[in-house]
Amino acid sequence: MTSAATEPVAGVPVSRRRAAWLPAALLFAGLTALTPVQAEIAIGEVDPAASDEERIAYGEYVLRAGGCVTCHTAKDGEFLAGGRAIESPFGVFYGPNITPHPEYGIGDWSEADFRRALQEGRSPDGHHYYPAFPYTAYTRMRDEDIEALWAYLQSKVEPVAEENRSHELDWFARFRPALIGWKWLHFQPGRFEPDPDQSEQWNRGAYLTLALGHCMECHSPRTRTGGLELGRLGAGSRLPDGDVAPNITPDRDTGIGRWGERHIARYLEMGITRDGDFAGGSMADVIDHGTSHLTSEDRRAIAVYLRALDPIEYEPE
Amino acid sequence: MKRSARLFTAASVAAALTLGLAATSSVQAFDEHEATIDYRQGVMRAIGGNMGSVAAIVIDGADFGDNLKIHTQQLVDLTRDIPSLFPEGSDFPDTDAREEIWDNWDRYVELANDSRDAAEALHAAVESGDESEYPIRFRNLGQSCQACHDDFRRD
Ligand code: HEC
Ligand code: HEC
Ligand code: HEC
Repeated sequence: MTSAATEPVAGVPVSRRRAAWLPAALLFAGLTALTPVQAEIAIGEVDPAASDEERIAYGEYVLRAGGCVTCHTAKDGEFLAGGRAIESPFGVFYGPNITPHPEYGIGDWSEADFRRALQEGRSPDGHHYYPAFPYTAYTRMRDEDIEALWAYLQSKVEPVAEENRSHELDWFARFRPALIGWKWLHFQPGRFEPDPDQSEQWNRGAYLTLALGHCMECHSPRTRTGGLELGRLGAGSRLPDGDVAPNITPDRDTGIGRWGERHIARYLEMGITRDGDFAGGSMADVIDHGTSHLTSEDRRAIAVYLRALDPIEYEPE
Repeated sequence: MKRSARLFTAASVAAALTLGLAATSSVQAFDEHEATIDYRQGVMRAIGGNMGSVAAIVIDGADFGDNLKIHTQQLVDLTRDIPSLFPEGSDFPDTDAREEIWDNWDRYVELANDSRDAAEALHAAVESGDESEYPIRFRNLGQSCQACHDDFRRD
């Protein structure tokens, strides 16, 4: 990753507090328009004894479940070659090229580099990524899912010689080392821990929602320093593109308490709400590029998990 | 939005009291837009209600297949002329319609026609009893609703 945004701004003092605070709100990553959907896949979890072919197919499934396509494919651009604009209050991020091109993409990375990017938010040369890349959620990903995803990206994705576009950030947000402060405040690395008291379906749903689907990144209010409000996960938030990601806890008045599992599953498949209305904005992308490609069992599992959340009465302004 | 509408009404009433007839006509125009907006939101909700019923039958297997035709016929009727529900200037007071509608009218009409065509295609499949086509045609219709809401409706 060689973007101009990695350069600190000469002569600008960044105090520790400011360092922590400023890049923080960069996380408010609003997502934008549509790109064409490609492959269709439908498989559940990877079997440890799976063949390479099966593992690679599962890797493509992980890509869909992770919603990677939306941010890493520009409108009308080459698949995963980057260039998609992601709005934030501090400027515009551009998703980088993650095709296996050795120079412009991540073709010369090792699997360990890739895992570190997703689980620790660090690049092969050690710099910190902005949380506009939701590694805050991907840190929960299982190693075997990352392996499968890596195998797929390296073997099935067309390498594209497309140079990364530099982020266009306000000067104070360009200072990457300041991200250490933000991460110190808000980033809790670590794999997903299944809850043995819950059903397998609930655990699968929790994993898909919290680790891969990064649903809470958009659907939760944030603290002043741009971290998720952990006590109000899923209670909704206003995104930087102006849209509201509504409360998706089962509160009957402010959330989706009146939605059954089938309503949620159907919504994640084709965008139809309980009232027969249709999803718009960035959720339409999440559905088109991500959840509509999942198996119905996985969409059900997400629904089961959301229905089981504690209802929170909250309406984002 | 609501508050400014109320203020506007109060101001119009005050103006009507002091200025007489000239101002009353602006109150009427205002009420007329309000009624138009109520009407079109009602139509949109009716469209939504029919879509919800079709989904329950087609996707989740509710045992009301015999009624499918009623719903798709209503969808055809209610999507026939969506643009007429949006007379110029009806982006005020209490509406989610964006003013871009009237700046990009041709595009708006195109999207409305897509929905109408998709509703007709779904209805045609139901008329001929071609069940294997229901889900995809339903999905196409849904995507046409989404395409217009994405560009022309406030969230
Ligand atoms: C919400 C948007 C978003 C989503 C979703 C997303 N990314 Fe990214 N990703 C970004 C941005 C923005 C960057 C650049 C961050 C930076 O420059 O600090 C990035 C950086 C990366 C990098 C580092 C590239 C480099 O050249 O250093 C990799 C690898 C990556 N993403 C892979 C993925 C994978 C795999 C997924 C899905 C599991 C994914 N991303 C999902 C926005 C996103
Ligand atoms: C990029 C931000 C973003 C992400 C990621 C995201 N959502 Fe959403 N979501 C939204 C927005 C914006 C809406 C409102 C859509 C609309 O107004 O039509 C929404 C709407 C919804 C709704 C409908 C709520 C209602 O009351 O109408 C549900 C359910 C939902 N999302 C679930 C999810 C799940 C599950 C995930 C993870 C797989 C997810 N979302 C990921 C932004 C997001
Ligand atoms: C050509 C554009 C267009 C098309 C096509 C369209 N809509 Fe709408 N719809 C709108 C606009 C604009 C509004 C906001 C109207 C307002 O608030 O005055 C709206 C509002 C709605 C509402 C909310 C009504 C309320 O205020 O309670 C629903 C529900 C709805 N539409 C459903 C649908 C469905 C279902 C379809 C497809 C079968 C559809 N619409 C097709 C433009 C469109």
